[in-house]
Amino acid sequence: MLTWDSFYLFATGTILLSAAGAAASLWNRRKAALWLTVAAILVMGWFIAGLWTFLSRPPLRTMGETRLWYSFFLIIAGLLTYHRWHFRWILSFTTIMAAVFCIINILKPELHDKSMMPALQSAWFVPHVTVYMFSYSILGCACLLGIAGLVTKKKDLLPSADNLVYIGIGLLSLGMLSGAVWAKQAWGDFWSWDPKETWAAATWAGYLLYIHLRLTHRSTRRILCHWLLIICFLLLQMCWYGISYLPSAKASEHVYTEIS
Amino acid sequence: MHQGEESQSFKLEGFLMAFVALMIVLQILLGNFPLSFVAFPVNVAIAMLWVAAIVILHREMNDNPWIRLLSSGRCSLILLTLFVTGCLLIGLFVQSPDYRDDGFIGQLGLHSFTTSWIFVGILFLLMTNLLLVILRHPAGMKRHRIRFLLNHVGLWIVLLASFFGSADTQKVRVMALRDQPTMESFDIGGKIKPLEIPITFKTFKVDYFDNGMPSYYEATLLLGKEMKRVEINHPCRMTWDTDLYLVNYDMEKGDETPYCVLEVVTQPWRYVTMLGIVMMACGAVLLFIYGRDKTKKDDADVG
Repeated sequence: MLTWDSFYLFATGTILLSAAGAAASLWNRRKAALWLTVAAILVMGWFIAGLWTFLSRPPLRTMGETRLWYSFFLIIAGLLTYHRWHFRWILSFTTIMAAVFCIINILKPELHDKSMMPALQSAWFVPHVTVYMFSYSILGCACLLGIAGLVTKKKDLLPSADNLVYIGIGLLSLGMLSGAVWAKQAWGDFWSWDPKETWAAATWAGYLLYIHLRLTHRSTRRILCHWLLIICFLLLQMCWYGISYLPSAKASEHVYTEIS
Repeated sequence: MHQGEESQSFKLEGFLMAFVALMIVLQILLGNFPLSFVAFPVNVAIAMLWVAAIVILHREMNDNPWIRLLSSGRCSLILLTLFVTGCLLIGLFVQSPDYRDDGFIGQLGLHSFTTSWIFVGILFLLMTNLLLVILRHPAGMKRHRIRFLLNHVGLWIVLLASFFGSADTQKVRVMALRDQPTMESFDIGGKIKPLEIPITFKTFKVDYFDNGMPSYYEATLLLGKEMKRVEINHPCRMTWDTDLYLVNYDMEKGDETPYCVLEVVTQPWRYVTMLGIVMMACGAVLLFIYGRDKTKKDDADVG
């Protein structure tokens, strides 16, 4: 039976395999990079499946559990981006980001008990949180492209970032819409401007701004577009965990992710 | 950008700045937007007049520079920026109608910004821009047009239902004592509101985790003469536009709780909202499948 106690073993295995994949991609060993990263994903996937079985509920409730999925999806998003657009550096960055979140989880695991408050026991819970986590990972890659574009002044990164943003905002929209339907079922309102919802709306509208700016100014405003990719990702961080530090968010319906 | 286009965009920015300034003045003079004023049937009348006006303006005055400006991509960009700014203000300031602040921030309505003239005004312009953009969208590649319509019309419908339907949404709470029929409910201000059907609380059941935390709870109720079950995450239907939610109970007494607190939510516009949500969800899937819009030339700058 897999418990949280064995996480450090699986995390180490995942990060080592992912780092080996990243190194292979830097040395242009494409096949090795793909297979090593797939192995990393399988190791982390095995742990998640085991924890899910042990807890008898999806491990999506606490902040630590969402970080677990984030690391998992980040490596998948990195692999898809690498496979599709052949950026040799992307796997290194996604590995570092995934490692940071794994290390936070090892140092500050938070309590991962079996209970889950009744309002979270809904068929909407798993799709709502997993599509969000997956979109966060995809948009994390888009943010890396934004930073790379500003640092290297390369012009050709934006079309790839566009693709990531379209996929990311598609998933973000599905997360937001499923959340609205679930909120109606659980609390009676589709939308109540809860702090989490407010920052989600700001993030979503920010990415819409990026998409429309790119549609109307395809060859200009490139620096602004790169900055927007970074700013929107920062808004997304606020939505995910930053709101816990805001006095305006103390009464959020979503603070259950903080309570163990 | 050509000189003519530049003066047009100054016109647009000037108009939007004047509009926001007007909303700020209205907010300071009148306080928050009087939502209750736009309850049924006034909301439906205003919505129909507004849509009719936009459609007529689009058809009859298609070349009017103001209509072109209001439906432009530049207008969408500015309004989206204003919307994001509005969301940030809502996110950064404590939102509560009871929050006491007599200073300038309080006067601007920043502690209940979602119902301020400023935010309502921005949303109204955003919806107007969105409707004009939908009406003016050229027939292009079929699959991209379908995706465009699903995303934009879906969003417009969701905004319409939440904007005009907000005043028709009512929430009241019922304190149901076991085996005692009640026809009384209370609104958020504590005012008594009569119920259409008597509610009688009959039985209660709670399941627990090993650590004693409740994992599931449900109540059976008599609504008029009909026995119904209401559980967490599963409200029960009272009428076509009204649902009953289980909110609270005496946690110490568990199954033997002498009361349960119910919330009666009336939301006649929810079907409209659901239609918009389904359209947007289909549009989101197509965003995922088709990826970025490749119908425009990559080097064209149409702003």
